[in-house]
Amino acid sequence: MSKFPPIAIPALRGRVLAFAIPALLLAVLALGYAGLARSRAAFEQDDARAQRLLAGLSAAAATIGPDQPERLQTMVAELAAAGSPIRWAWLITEKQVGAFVFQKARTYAVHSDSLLAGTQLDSEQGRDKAAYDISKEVELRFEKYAASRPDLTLYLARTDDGHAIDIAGPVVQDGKLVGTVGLSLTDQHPAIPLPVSFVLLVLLSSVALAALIFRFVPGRVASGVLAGVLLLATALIFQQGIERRVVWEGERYASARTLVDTVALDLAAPDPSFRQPLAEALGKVAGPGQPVGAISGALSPEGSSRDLLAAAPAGLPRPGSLVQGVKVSQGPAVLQGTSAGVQLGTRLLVTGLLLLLLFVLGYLGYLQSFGSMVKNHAYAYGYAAPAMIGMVVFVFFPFASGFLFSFFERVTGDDLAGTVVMFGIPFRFMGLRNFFDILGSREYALTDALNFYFTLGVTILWTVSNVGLHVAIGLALALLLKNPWLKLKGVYRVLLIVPWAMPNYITALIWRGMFDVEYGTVNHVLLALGLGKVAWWSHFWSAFTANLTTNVWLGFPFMMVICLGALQSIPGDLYEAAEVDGASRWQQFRNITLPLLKPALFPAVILGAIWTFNMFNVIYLVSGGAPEHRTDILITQAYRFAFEAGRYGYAAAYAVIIFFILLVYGLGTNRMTKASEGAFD
Amino acid sequence: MRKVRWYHQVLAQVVLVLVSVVTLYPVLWVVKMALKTGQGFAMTVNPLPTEFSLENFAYVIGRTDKDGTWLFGYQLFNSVVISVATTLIGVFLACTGAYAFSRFRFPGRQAGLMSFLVTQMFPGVLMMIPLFVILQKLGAITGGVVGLNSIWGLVMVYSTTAIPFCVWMLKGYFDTIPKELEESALIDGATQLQIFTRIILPLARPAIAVTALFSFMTGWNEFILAATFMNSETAYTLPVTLRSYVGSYSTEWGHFAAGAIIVSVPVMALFFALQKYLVGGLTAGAVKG
Repeated sequence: MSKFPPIAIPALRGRVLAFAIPALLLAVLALGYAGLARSRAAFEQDDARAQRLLAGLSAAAATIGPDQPERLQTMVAELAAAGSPIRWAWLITEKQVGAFVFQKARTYAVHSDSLLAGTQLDSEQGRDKAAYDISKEVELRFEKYAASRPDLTLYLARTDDGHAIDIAGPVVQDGKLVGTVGLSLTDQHPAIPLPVSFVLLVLLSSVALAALIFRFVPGRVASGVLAGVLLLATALIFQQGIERRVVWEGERYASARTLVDTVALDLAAPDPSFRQPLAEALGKVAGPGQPVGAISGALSPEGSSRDLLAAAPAGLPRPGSLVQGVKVSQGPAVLQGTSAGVQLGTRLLVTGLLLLLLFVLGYLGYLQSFGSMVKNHAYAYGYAAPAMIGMVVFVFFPFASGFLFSFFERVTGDDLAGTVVMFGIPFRFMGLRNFFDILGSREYALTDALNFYFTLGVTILWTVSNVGLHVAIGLALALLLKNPWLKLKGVYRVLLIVPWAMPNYITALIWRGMFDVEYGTVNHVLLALGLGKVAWWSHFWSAFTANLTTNVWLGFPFMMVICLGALQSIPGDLYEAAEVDGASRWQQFRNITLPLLKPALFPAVILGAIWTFNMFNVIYLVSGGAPEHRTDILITQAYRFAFEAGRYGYAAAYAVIIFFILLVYGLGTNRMTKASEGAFD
Repeated sequence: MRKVRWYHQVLAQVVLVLVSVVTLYPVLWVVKMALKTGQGFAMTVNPLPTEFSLENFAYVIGRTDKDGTWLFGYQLFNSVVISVATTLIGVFLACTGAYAFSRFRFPGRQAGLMSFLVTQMFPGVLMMIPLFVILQKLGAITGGVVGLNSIWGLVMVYSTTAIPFCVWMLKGYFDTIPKELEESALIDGATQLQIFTRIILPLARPAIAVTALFSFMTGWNEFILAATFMNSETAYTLPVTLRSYVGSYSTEWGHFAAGAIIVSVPVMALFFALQKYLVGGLTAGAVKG
């Protein structure tokens, strides 16, 4: 926009509106956050319940002797009888026969559809195979994390259909892994009501109060400031109120509902009516006279925020007491927190501040002029809106996050201190280090194939040779094909654009096969011509030639079509006039064809260069970077850093650099806006 | 006109025949390997088929998973639905967007056009991680309708990533349609929507055909995102399976070739059906700008 409209504080109605709109947005967002928090709380409750069940089961499994395999069945059956959501459970453990230890000899699955008939796991069966895979994963995690992060030894994942949780963990005896145990249980997303009436009430009273302020407080500045404070206060009330309400509902749910699920194993059952079955189940789990400390000890939930322990009624098993012959060696376990998902504080505060800005803009009358601008161009914005919304979500946002990534690096390993989790991946802030590393050749020497400048050189060579050949071949063929005397013209025009019509990954793979050293057609043609075989992938130049051949084959039809179109638009009488003047064919080409071809060819060349610069498929599928990454171009190199080395930040910095190279190139060609049909990949 | 001598014709024919042979050579190989029995890469120079077996086609079409689910059927269905939906949505978004940028002058127009262009310079493969997470979140919001492992998630990604190219191309074409047509329609009492649907769209048919072709090809040919966002074989599209025939250690060339023919034929047919529009659709904007 060229100039800012002047400040024009609107009349009373306008000011109330300026307040009401941000307040309404705030209320809607608050409800949205509450919904998010609610679903997270629900998920956390499900996870926590799954962990409790597993911890109990695994602690109990550790006490099963080699001669009593049916104990697992009994335990799961008891749980199921108590209304548990367990779909099935399995146990994989060692069995000792004489001096030999047979791994995985004792493997049991107990399904809820055949609860008391435990079956041997069959490693070939789909469901059982999944159990074996999970078991392997748990073993790996135990090896890695048992000492440092015991919480990471658990495996917890939602099944594909989203209605169940698979959870598994180690069975430990005397600090040693003796087996793995796993459960699959149905989710029971609890129904926590949204505090709609609360939000509505606060919203209405806040708007009413604002109207009163505007009406009765003298001075426009003073009333504006007061209203601003009111808006922030509203945000605060929303935060406090919703956090309390959602959490409270969540906790009430947790204490009432999960009790049923965990009755057999959860020591924190506050309802006295569950004490009897609890004690019985404990007896079954731990065996008479056994301490159940292991059960509650294994629960140790991390970051449980609100102890139900405090609210648990007296009369629960206490350390040292005996429950039907079962000695309780530790205190009751804590029902894991449900409020971890409900941290509205910063979110609502940031939202509140942004909305305050909106209010200020509205109060000063800017919003109104913005509104009238939108109104004046309603058609334009209406037509542009669908495409823009799609672009914002699926193009601009990933684009922006790519930029963001480039200042971070993914953290691998266990040291997660000071990391930021973005997109579910832990990152550490690096500032500009990725860029310094890449552009300063810090990691790889200049002659190393992984060096940025080396790859850039290859990329430029790749782009220039491709575009040059595309234009040369395309133009030559177009000049031939435009001759009116040429016979079979239509046939050639169809045949020659076949490479463009075929999906390019298919042709890339075919060429990969044709260049195969042993079986490939190219080497057989060379042999037939009396030349020797070429080891295509062993040398830079041969591999580069293979890539180049493929891409030239793929790309010349586009240039040919563009040139044909442009040639057809050159009026024939120009040539006739030149002929009359006695110009030679070459002179006609130099002075008529080329200059008139330029406007069409120029954009196509710019576009073609961008396409070729980022031609991922051909490089990746044909040479695959062979030999030793030397034929990789920037984009395939970046892909490898991201998805083969797992260095997302480094790869994102590559992408940002590629972006700026192409941007400078595009600006440099100076006719970008006309040429800019964009890279299409 | 200068006299055309007989050797001009012969020379031109020789050159064009040679180029055509080179052009068709790999394509003939695909046909040959598809019709051959066995999975090796035939080690001869002759690209013409010597065997005529439909074994590979039968395998590719009849492929089932271990539960007996007809994978080819599922994947064909996915590919068709995804490509057609991508085409429809992509053309709709591109036409309305391009119309706005071509016909109206509004604040943010230049910025919008530039932003379309600029995003195309960012390597697409690296947007995979954010896209993955966006689809995950969208899946949570929409109950899995638009999300991971859903056809509509892929459709949304494909149709929006093709927007910038299509908008620029269509805008170039719309620019060449004289404004007077709209003005006279306006005088005759046509509404804005009528002008767009009754005048602009019919006149821009060549460019729309090209836009549709490219949108369709995006949906039909893409395999990296499809392999990443879909997590079961019944949810894959045909190219994902096709790609998997070519492994790093062994390649089922026969199956690959048969699959390649099945996948290529529809898109090539479409390409050739619309090829007369290609020149006009692609270059109108660039030439007359």
